[in-house]
Amino acid sequence: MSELQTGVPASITIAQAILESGWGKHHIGKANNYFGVKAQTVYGKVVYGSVATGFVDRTTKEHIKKSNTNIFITAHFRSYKNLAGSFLDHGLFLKYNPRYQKALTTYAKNRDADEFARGLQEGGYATDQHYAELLISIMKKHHLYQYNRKVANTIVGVSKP
Amino acid sequence: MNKLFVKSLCAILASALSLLVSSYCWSDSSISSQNKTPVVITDIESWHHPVKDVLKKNSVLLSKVELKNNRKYAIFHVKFPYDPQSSVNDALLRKLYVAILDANGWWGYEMQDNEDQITIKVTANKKNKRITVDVIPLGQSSAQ
Repeated sequence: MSELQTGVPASITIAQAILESGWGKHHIGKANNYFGVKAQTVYGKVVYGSVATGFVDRTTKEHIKKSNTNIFITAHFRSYKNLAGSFLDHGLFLKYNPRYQKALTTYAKNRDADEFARGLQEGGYATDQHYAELLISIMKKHHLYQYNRKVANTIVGVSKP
Repeated sequence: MNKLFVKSLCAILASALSLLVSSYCWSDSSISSQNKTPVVITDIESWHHPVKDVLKKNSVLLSKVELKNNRKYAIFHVKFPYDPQSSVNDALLRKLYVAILDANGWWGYEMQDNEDQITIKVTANKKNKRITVDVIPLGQSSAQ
């Protein structure tokens, strides 16, 4: 469903969810946020777009070796009613991000999810040089390509996240 | 007479010291104005500050520095080699935020990223060792 609205291959979304949430184990507590999508702050107020239903603050400990101290970093994350909301919002994040326009345009033409994975890497989605290959191996191993739409998308109107 | 001489000498030494300290902290030939109005540094090549080294080490391109609030609040104009909004890069970014903060004497700061159309605002409490990170759509930041 989210591929229809965002143009992001379903196999990619599923593989990313597997990778980023550790097979669904980590989704920021009860936030149902499987991709760690952040909430933004507009004039001092936290906003979360049209798909998310709220936000949660998450604090992470960062250990500084040099001074042997712990620093606590708080950031705002979007929360969703369910997994479907998280999947759709992640797709919209990619759809409206200029970094991934080339990958989306190419996929709309050639329907090649592997190339889309490499496009994500090229756009800077991950600093890990093996990120694209990791996604591809997950898609292959679990036969995820079957979930991709066979024809070009008819994008259904969804407002910008 | 001697008292006046010592007093003058002290004043000269104090002003020389303050000049030395400020030039070390924010030395740059292209500083466009003085203390109370915002300062804009565009000649990054000749600007020397520990934050510049941190950004360089992390491959983050620095193009401009704005100093506000009596030069206590910095806005770094940057270009990231990766997506700063992707959660996959969060671990790397958290280390970067802390390293910049450390290099900036634990003064809060902002990183304005025109390419990704966002400003990352880092607010710090040194006493509690706590940091808050806000991602702000470009141009929608509360005035510092």
